[in-house]
Amino acid sequence: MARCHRMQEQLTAWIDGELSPRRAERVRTHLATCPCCAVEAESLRAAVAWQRDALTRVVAVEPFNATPLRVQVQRMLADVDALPVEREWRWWLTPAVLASAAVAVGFSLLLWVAGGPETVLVPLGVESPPPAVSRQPDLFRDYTLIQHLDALENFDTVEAVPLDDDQAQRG
Amino acid sequence: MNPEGDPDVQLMLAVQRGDDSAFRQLFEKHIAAVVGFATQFVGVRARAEEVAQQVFLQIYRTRAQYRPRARFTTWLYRMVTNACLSEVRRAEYHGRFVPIAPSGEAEGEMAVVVDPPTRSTEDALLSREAMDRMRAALDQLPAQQRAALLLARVEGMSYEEVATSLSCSVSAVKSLIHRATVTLRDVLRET
Repeated sequence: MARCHRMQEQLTAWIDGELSPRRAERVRTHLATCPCCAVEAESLRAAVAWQRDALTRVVAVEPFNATPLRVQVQRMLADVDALPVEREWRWWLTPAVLASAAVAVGFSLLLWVAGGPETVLVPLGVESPPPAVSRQPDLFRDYTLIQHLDALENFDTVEAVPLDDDQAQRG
Repeated sequence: MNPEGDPDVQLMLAVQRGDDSAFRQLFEKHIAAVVGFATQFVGVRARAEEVAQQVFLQIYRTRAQYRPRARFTTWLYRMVTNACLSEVRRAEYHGRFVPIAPSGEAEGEMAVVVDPPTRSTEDALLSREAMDRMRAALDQLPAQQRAALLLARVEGMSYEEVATSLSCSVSAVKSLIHRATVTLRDVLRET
């Protein structure tokens, strides 16, 4: 029964000649041994033939005078001609993609010229400061050097600055 | 089929090169079918004409993007179907879906017998009744099933082309068309 149901699902496509030769052969073999499906196939064949004819006549527009529509479309085409022709959408030409690519290239160049990511990312606040600064933030707070970080190579020197007297005594 | 062998693809490529007469040829060739197809979704001929107009304007505006990867009609009906389905969704959202009226009655037009003049009047009337029942049954189908069925049965597209037009898989199309065919058969058998 389940086999019959599966076969019947294929019948319209079989009648339309849309099954692969192997599947079509399987349907033919089944129909030869199953009177129930053979009756259904005949019924569907008649329905397909009738529907093809009837639907064609239902859809046929009669009488159809295309002139007013043609005149209207031509008038609209004149307006369309005034507009630029739509070009194929090319993702690589969209302004957003171009702008993003320019920013990415510029940033990479900046990193390369500045000598490394930390040189650029720390002042921007994107990356943590070096350990020497993190350990003693009070010590570095007033340094314009830290705020504008234009000479990170001086951190070694900064780290070596002696502690004030009180701290030295407590130490 | 190689899309380059499709004469409509050649016309579309000419449109791309700036040949407006090629656009007029495509318009004349497909406008009636597109309006007929759209009518099955938006219900009223005037609205279907607006949808068709928008689709052809879109074709013209996006001509630079056109790539002949499939038959022209596959590409055309992809746009038409998208426009129709979004129209159906919009109508459902606003709760004002207009059911498909029997031919000619939607806008107070005179009824038009669709059969060739060689048929007898009685045959034509019977046929007209059958057409109206078919319209009503078609209107009951979910929009995706309706689109798949019309593309396959009326436009003669393969399941693969229907899948391209509806932006779904071939196996989904197989299922949509089968369910639509069975539903229409059963509904029309009952009435």
